[in-house]
Amino acid sequence: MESAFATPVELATRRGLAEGLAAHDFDQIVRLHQQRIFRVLYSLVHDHDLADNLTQDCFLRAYQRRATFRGQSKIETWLIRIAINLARDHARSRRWAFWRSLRRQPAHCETEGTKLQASSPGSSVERQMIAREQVAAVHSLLQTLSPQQRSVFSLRFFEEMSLEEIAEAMELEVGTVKTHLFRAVSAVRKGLREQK
Amino acid sequence: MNGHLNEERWAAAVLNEPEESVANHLRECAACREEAKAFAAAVGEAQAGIWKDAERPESFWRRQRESIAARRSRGEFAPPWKRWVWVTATLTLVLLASILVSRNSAPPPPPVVQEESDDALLLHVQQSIRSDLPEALRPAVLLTQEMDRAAAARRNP
Repeated sequence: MESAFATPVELATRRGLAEGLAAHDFDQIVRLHQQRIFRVLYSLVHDHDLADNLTQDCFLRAYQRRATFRGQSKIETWLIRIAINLARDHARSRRWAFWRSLRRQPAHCETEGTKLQASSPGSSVERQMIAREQVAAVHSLLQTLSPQQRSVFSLRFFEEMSLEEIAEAMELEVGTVKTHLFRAVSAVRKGLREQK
Repeated sequence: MNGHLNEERWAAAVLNEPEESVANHLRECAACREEAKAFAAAVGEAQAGIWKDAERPESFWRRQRESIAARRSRGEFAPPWKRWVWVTATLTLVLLASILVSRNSAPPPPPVVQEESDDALLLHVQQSIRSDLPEALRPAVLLTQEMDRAAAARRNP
């Protein structure tokens, strides 16, 4: 798992954001965080091209709103907040719904295959089949959750963020995050039970 | 504890924040323990898959950085679909404003004509049809008739 951020770099970047960034500084921020932001978005939208576009939008929005960054949270948390908002806006946009439905299926199939190889190297065929079923089940169940539940679930279980970090990223109370998480876990648990 | 873990306690268990009673239950109840393990395994598989899928070659990250820099230099901050939303909203506002302006600057309505009742109008038309004389000569006709009646009265007192 990636470490959050090196303290001197973090401080220097916060200063830069507060004082107005030079293009070079901003490029450095993109370089440092683009992989994690892409992964967060990919876990929410399950589409490489879309996650790429939204990652670009995320950094452009961050650059546009750099004056609003007060340095009260980590830059990475701030970027994740922007990314989640973009993913939510995107999900609301019916304009893209048709394209998503067209593109989801092949991406999903590819995902299952690569996950299988990645998560269980050298395992038996039976084990691989079980793993494939589990991965597919979790992904399909996540699509049934509300956008907030899905975001909370992804940040907790895929990004391994603490409840406090999730609360900060999503601008929610920790109690609210817990409620979303409990509901998401219950829904996934119920779904997994029914699929057995 | 009544049977297996309820939803809230089970969620707490998989979130690694179990109370002592939940931890004890998981130690004693094989069914709940196995279910929690299966849940963790399924989620773990999904996480591993996402991490693996999100791995991209360095050329991908470089192209992404270049694209961000290019879009930033062009001032393209909003996603394409959002730009169209703004364009549509702006056009709609302009259209509404032009409609309002054209309504406000329209000519005043023509004055309402005082209409006669149907009966009065019909009577007027009938009188006009029966009369051989123009309207303006009617007083003279009345005067002549009066003079004729006076002359007849003098002849036959």
